[in-house]
Formats: sequence, C-alpha cells, structure tokens
Amino acid sequence: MTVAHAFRSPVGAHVLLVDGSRIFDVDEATFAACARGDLPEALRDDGRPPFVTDEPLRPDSLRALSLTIAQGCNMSCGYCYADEGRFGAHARLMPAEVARRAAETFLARVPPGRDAVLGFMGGEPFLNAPVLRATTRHAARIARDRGVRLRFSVTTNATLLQEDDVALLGAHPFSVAVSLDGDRATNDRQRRLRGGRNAYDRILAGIDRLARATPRPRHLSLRATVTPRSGRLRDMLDAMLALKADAAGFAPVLVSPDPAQAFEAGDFQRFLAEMIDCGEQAKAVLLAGGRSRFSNFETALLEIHRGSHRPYPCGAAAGYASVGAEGDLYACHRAIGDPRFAIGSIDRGPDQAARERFLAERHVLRQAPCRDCWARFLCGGGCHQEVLARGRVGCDYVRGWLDFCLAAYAELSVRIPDFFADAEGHSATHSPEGAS
Amino acid sequence: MSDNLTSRKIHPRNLTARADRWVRGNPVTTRPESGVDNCYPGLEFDQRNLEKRFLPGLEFEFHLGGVPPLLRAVDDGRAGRALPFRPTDFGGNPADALFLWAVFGTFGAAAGPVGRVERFGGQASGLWAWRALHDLEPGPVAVLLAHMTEEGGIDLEPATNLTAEAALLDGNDVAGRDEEERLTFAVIAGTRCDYLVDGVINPAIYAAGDLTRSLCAPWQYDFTDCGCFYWASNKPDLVAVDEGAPQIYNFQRMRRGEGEERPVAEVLADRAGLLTIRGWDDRDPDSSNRILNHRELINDWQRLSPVFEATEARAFTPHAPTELPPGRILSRAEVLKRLRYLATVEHSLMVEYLYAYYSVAAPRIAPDAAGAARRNYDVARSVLSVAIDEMRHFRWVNEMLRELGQPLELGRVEEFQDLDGDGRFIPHSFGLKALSAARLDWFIEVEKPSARVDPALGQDTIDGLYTRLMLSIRQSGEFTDDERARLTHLVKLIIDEGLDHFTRFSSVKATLAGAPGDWLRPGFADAPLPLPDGHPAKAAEIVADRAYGTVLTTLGFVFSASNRRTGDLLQAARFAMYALDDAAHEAIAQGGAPLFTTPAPGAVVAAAGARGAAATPAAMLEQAIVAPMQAALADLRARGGAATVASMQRHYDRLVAEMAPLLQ
Repeated sequence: MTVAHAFRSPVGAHVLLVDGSRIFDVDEATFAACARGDLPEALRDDGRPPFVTDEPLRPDSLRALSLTIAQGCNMSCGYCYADEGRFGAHARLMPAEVARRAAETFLARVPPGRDAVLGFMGGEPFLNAPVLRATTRHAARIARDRGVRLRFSVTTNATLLQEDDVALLGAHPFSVAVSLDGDRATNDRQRRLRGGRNAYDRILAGIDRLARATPRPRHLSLRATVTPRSGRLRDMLDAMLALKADAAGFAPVLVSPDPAQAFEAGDFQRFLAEMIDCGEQAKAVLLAGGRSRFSNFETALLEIHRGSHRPYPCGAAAGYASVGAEGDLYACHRAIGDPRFAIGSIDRGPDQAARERFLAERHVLRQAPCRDCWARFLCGGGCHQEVLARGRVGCDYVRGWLDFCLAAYAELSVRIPDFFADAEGHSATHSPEGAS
Repeated sequence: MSDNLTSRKIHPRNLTARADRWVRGNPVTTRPESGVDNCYPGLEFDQRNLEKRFLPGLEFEFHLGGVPPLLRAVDDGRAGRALPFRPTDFGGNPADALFLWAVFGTFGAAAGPVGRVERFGGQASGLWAWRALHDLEPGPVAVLLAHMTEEGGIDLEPATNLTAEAALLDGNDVAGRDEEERLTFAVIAGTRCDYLVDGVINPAIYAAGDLTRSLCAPWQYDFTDCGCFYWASNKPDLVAVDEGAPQIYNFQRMRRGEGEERPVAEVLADRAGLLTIRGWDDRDPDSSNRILNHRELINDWQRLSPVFEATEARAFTPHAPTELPPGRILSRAEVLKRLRYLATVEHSLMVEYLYAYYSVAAPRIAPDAAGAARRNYDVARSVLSVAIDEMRHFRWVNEMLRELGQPLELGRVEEFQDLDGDGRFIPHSFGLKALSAARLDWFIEVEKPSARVDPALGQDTIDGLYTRLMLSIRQSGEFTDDERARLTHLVKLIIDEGLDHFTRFSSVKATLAGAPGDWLRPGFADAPLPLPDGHPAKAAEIVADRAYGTVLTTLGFVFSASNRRTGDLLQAARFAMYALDDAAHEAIAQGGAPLFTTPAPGAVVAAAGARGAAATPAAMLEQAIVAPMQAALADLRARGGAATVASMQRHYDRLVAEMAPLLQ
C-alpha cells in the first residue's frame, strides 16, 4: 500500500510518498484525500516494485573507517557517551602499529578510483597526535599509489592543537569537526578541562588557528552537544556562527553516563521549538541570498531535495566501521567495545556474516514502531547506539523537525531554486560525529 | 465543476519525485481546461467525442452534419440493466438507424439550471445538438430515440407519440413497437454521465483513443477535418487538395488571375532547391505530380517515405561528412593563431553578456508572482546562463591551446578581425552596453549558426569560424590522432552550445517583445567611465574590478592545471565568480557599475607563474589572490558594504580552501 504524509508550506500543500521520499505539490482536494489516507490513483504505487524492500543490505567493501586512536580525553564532559573517551574501560591510546595496519587493510579493499574516508575519533584524538600524523601521511601515500580518492576527518575539542597539527589538517583534505557547546556560559557549564578549568577560550583559540591556517582544512564545522541544561539554542548557534567556521549544528544527548544530562521524552518539546526557531532564522538567511551555515538544517534540505530514502540511519556496518584501540572493528565509533556492534578485526578483516547479521537486525522495517512511521525512510530508525541503549525516546521530535524541514524545503525550492541547483552534483561533506 | 477543474494538480518537486519512472501527475492533455478553447474540433481531443456517452449505456455520434445525433451502440453493461432493445432492432439497414430527437433533463442557462425538453431535428441538428447537450446538468435525464423519415424528420403515430412523450417526462425505459414488432421509438432514462472524475477525464467512460479518435492527426486526416484554419499555434496546417483542384482556402481570399496550378510537392521541392522531385509512392510513377488525396492519406500514409535528416528518402544513406576544399584547410600555425584569437573573442563576449546581465533590473531572488519583476529575473538568468557558457568556451579554447603546447590566452579582443582578408566578418567593437533591444539583436547575430548564413554573401559567424577550425583539424595532416580526437571533440561541443545560445537569446527577445522597454536599470550607462574619487560607489567599483582580476587569476590556475584536475578546479573557481557577483551587485546598489577593467598586461599570467615561489599552494593563493583584495575590501567595509565584504570574504576562504589541495 502506498503510504503518504501530507504537509503544508507557505507555498501550498504537499505530499511526501514515504517510499522513495518523493515529494509532490498537490491541490487542496488531493491534500485532504491524502491526509485521510485515501490516495488518488495517480499517487498510488499499485503493482510497482517498491523503492525500499525489507531485504537487508548485503554490504560491499568499507568506504569509511574511523580510528578511535585515543580512548581518553583531556576534558571531562559529564554527558559524554564515551565516558570521557574511555568507553567504560581504562583510558588507552591506539598503538601506531594498529593504526597503520588498520589504514592499510582498509585501503587495500577500496577499489581504485573510488572515494574513501579515514576518520580519527576519540576521546580526544590529539592526545595521540603522533599516531594521527603518521597514519595520515602513510594513508595518503597508499591512497595515491592505489588511485583511491581519500579524504580525512577528525572530531576534536581543538584544545591541544599544535602548529604541525594545524599544518597537517590543512595539507591533507580534512573535514574538521570541533566540539563546542555554543556560547561561553553553556560551554563552560557543561564542558571543563580535567581539573575543572574553563575550556572556552582554549577552544576558540584552536578554532581561530584552524580558520586562519593556510592552507586551512577543507571543511571546518562546529558541533554543539545539547543537554537539558543547555542554554537557548539560538544564542548558542549565533555564538558559533560568529566564528569563522563553514557550518555549525546541534546534537542532543540521548545516552550519557550521567542520566541527568540526557534528554527525556519531556525535554524534546522545548528542544524542537528551539530547533525550529534556529531553522526559521536560517531560512530567512537563505531567502536573503546568503548561506545559513546551520548544518542540521542545510543537510536536511539537501537530503530531502535528493529524496534520500534509506532503511538505515547511517552507514554503520554497511560502508562504515570504526576501529578500537586494540584493532577490533565495530559498526560504529559510539559503540567501541560493545559486542553487539562487533564486526571483525583489522587482522581478520571485516566479518561479513556479522555485518550482514547486524544489517538484517537493524533494518528499519524490522523495527516495531518504525515500520508504520511516515518518517521511516528519512530517519532510518534512529541512531543504533542510542536506540539499543535508550530505546526511541525522541520520535516525536524527529518527526516534528522533519515536518519543519519538509515545509521549508518546499518553500525554498520554489523561492531560491538555485540553492538546490548548485547543490546537485555535490554531496555535502559529512564527517562522522563523535566524542571529544 | 469548474472550480474542481482548475484546482486539481500533482506536481513533482524533489529529485526522486522528478525521476520517478511513472511520472506522477496527469499529463496536461487529460485536463479539459488545458484545451485551446478557440479551436474546433479541438487540439488535445476532438470535443465532439466528449458527449457521446452522456447517457450510460448509449453511445451517440455527433459528427454528422444536418441530422440529430446518431445512436451508434448500446451497452446493457454500462446501463446497469437490460435496455428494451432487441438484436433485430439493429439490422444494419440504414432505415434502422436511430436518432436522438428529444432530451428531457436540466439544462444550464444564464439565469440558472432549467428543467425542460430539448428537441433536435431540422436546424437543431449536428453540432447544435452537441452544444445543447454540453449544457446538460448532472441529474436524471431521459431521451427519445426514433428512426428518420426520408424527409429527414421524425414521424410517429399520434397515439404512439403520446406514449413516447409521457415516457419521456416520466423518465421510464419504454420501447414502442408496431404490429410487426418493429421498433417505432424508444425512451431510455438514466442519470447524466459525469465525464470527469477528480477533475480528470474518467477512464471508466472513455477508453484510450476514444476522445482523440477523430482528431486531426498528421498522416491520418492531415487536417482536412480541421474545422478552422488554426495554423498559427499548434497545427502545421497543410490541407490536402484533390488533384487538379484549386486549394481549398487560398488564404481565405478570392483567387485572382488565371493559370495552371502546379502540384504542391513540385513547388516545395523546387523552392528547397535541393530535392529531386520524387514520388511519394515508389509504385506509382505519377505520384510525383500530385499530392496525396484525402482517402490516400487515411489508407496509405504508411507508403510515404520516412524523413532522414530533413529529407524524404526510402533508405538512410550516410553521406561523407562535409569537407573543406584543399585551399580552405588551415595550417597548424593558422589553427593556433585562430584559437588564440577565439579565446579573446569568447572572453570579450563573456564580459559583454555579464554587463548586459547586470543592466537588467532584475531582483537577485526569483519573485513569486508573474509580472515585470519575474520577467526581468527570467531574462537576466537567461543572459547569465550564456555568459557562464562562454566562460566554459573560454576554458575549452585554452585547453586546446594547452593541448597543443601553447601558452594560455586570458586577454580580450577589442574588435572583430577579418581573418581571411576577404571582408567576410562582422564589424564590431567590443564594449560594455546595457541589454537594449539593439544589443540583444547583436547577441543573436553573433551566436547565429552558420547554416543560417548564406555562404555566398553572409558573414563569418563565430559558429562558422569554429566549423572551419574543426574541419581543418580533421583534414589536416599536421595533427596527431590524439590531438585530432581531443580538439574536434571540444570544438564540436562549442559549436553545439553556440546553437543553444542563439535559441536562448532569441527566446529572450520574444519574452521582451511586448514589454514597454522598462527592463533596464535606470541610469545604467553604456561604456561606463571610472567614477571620480570620492564618489560613494568608488570603493565598490574598485572591489568589483579586483574581483574580476581574481576571476582571471583563478582561471589562470585552472587553465594551466592538468586535465584531470581542471573540473575540480573550476568548481573552486566558482567561488571567485560568486565574489565577483557580490561585488558587482554592491557596485550597482551604490549607484555604480562593474567596469571589468582588464588587469595590467602580464599580471594574471605572472600570478599563475608565481606558483613555484611560495612555500605552499595555499600560501601562494593567499599571496596571488587574497592579499591584493584586502585593502579594497577594507575600504568597502568602511563605506557601508560590510555585508557584501563578509560574503566575499567567505567566498575567498572557500576558494583557497577548495583550490589549495588541488594544486599540490
């Protein structure tokens, strides 16, 4: 049966056909019919093969690998899913040999001529800066020899950057995500250096060095982690956009060793209202011919424009894996050490059966509330790690935010079509988000 | 119903919706309101077919002039019950034919719907009846069917007539029969069929082809049935005439003078000058002397020859590609010289187009409503799109130069040159002018495809220059196979896009044809001079000039890079162009204009040549591109252009960030 979600925007009435994420402008009568589940024949997919079936993905070679090179952090953020980078265990650094072999075995499997991404995560990756530098140079050489188009990413708190780190991030095609919790007040309340000192000025100094570097990183984004105790999002966003970064965005905490810092179902209402507030501001900037740089919003617009429809929330176990300090492979950097996410090791290679099992279990059409949700192929079922740890507490928020973004897309695609025409053919640069 | 018709729509918006294999939404031809109203019997479908099933179970024919609608078929299934007919009622004898003589129902009228009996026959026949039925409102309806007398009327016995009239008003199914059980009349009742469902023609009532059945269609009726002479829009209205007879319409005027009529085919072939007179039918040697008549068109259209490359032929015979005579083939040295010249021409054109683009009083964001602003926006975008293409041509010509081991050419030409010294060139001095009607004519002229230019008299167009280059490269022995393959490919691309430019400019002209001449920005000067120091827009003017210099410097890097990276680099160079666009709009907003001042000779190439000197590509880009801008930007910021400066700064940051890794 064809499932539709009817929504309105300032430019009219629209219908999202859930399968294939196809959006149509419709008249009022069609809108009303769709809203009550009575699709006109012209919109029904009767007898057609669906875009997404319940058949799990059979994964090919990995295209993105992250190395958790430092399971430890110089900061002590109470909300950190990685438990200050230790993932519930002792702090430890990935040995150079493990990182080197991980990069080699990963790149050996990427077909020549294809794109690949090598990411560095933590903890704080620059606690293990020598390994980060050596691995980057080594991987870049292998990629060049093999004809693989390799890009890099790193998520860092930017407090430990040395001159040669900044030079490295500019010399190689790096996407750098800096964690910064918005304005000074919020950031210092939530994130302090070990020993309790304020970190804000040190983070800003790090960002400034990255932004001023020549060459500078190809993409520099800021990511604020939001807890129920965070300040007003709009203030946080404005504070971040005042810095010289290409983009800034938010991630709510769902899983935290300190439950008081994680979102409960009741917290999402305010969060949604504030996200929409930020989205409205970003929309106004786009309408005035500028770039909003609000990454949650712009990414959503471009994904909706493409008609993104995925039975998974992310590339975990499919094209993406993460390596723990000992060389074990996990489906996600957020789940290092979690046996449910174990998918082989760098020595034995990715465990195909484990990847397929993971993908079979995690398919969105196998998730009880998801398979009937209109947002299932935009959302993909929610972050695996959060869902397995917390269940799905933010679904109303996800739907509310998507509803806002769908309407904004419909409006902007009418009023500033060039924004989307420019984006066609360019995929947004995504860096895996992570601890730090 | 009319509200329903105009409100229904399904329009694909995002990419998956647009790429859907089953294109969602109804083609316009399924929507009756999309029809061209002043055309009879219709363009999208034959309107006479629309009412043929107005009463479920009966099907009428409205095509016969001078008689009431003819009952063509009955269908108990559609009626939902057994209609009171017998198979013997339809013997195939013309005298058995049943016609529609009266309809009882509610008819639309100016003062509101009225219940009444509408009677047909005599003058009230043919299309008159169709028109009357078109006004029949939804609801109960009953019809009276009977045979036609030899005089063309209805003639029922008085008693029978009474029965029939009573049945008509009561709305009952009744079949009247005489002593021999022969049908005398029939009254059939029912509910008026609604031929639309959800605003769209109901597929349950009309099968595919039902409505277009008798529509004028090429090679079927060849428009002989076209009730009007509607050639100006959709119909290539070639009306077939019988052999030897004068043309039917003769432009709707009386013929003057005597003289034998030449067969149309002969006249056409003669006029084309290229076609041999060939019969349309191989088996009929006389067919070259006449054109198909109506009957032949319907029955034998498939015997006509197919058309290959605009010529009718029995089979497709590939012919040798056009060749230049030996004396016209350009030497390698001459090809190089002309490529260099063409690079400067592309650059000069690009600047002319950009200036014309900025001269249009268009908003930067597409306005919602139709109107002058929207029109100006569309016009400006069209001109800009051609300017962007020229940038690409500029790049391709430089790629060709690089392919042939030549230095880059980033300069502009001031005048068109007479390359062959034969006077066949378009005299033109390049310069900055607003998009006036005359300027637009020049754009159309310069982009005109050479095939439209008389080879004996016309001027060499850009297209003609490239065509000669392509043929020379193909035929000359002075190029390697690799060079030939690569160069002809690029030249061909430029030629193909040139045709597109001609079309786009022509359509801009059509768009502006009815406009009252208000599309230009007031006071936007032709051949602008630099503003005096101290003018409020001076800072913006300087920034715009520098930004233009940035574009050229950036292109210098792009053009000198290896093939593999040119595409990515060009993406990076777009940021330079965005910055230029910001600067130009700022200059305009402050009452100035972009001047596109050519940087000092050698400056651009020198910047590109500075690559080796700097420590890293990024440092070099900073030095060559960003540093020269800083003072000008600071000045503009001080003069109230902070928003523009911020935006430009971002473009410059992106430019360096995107480009630096590519230059390693």
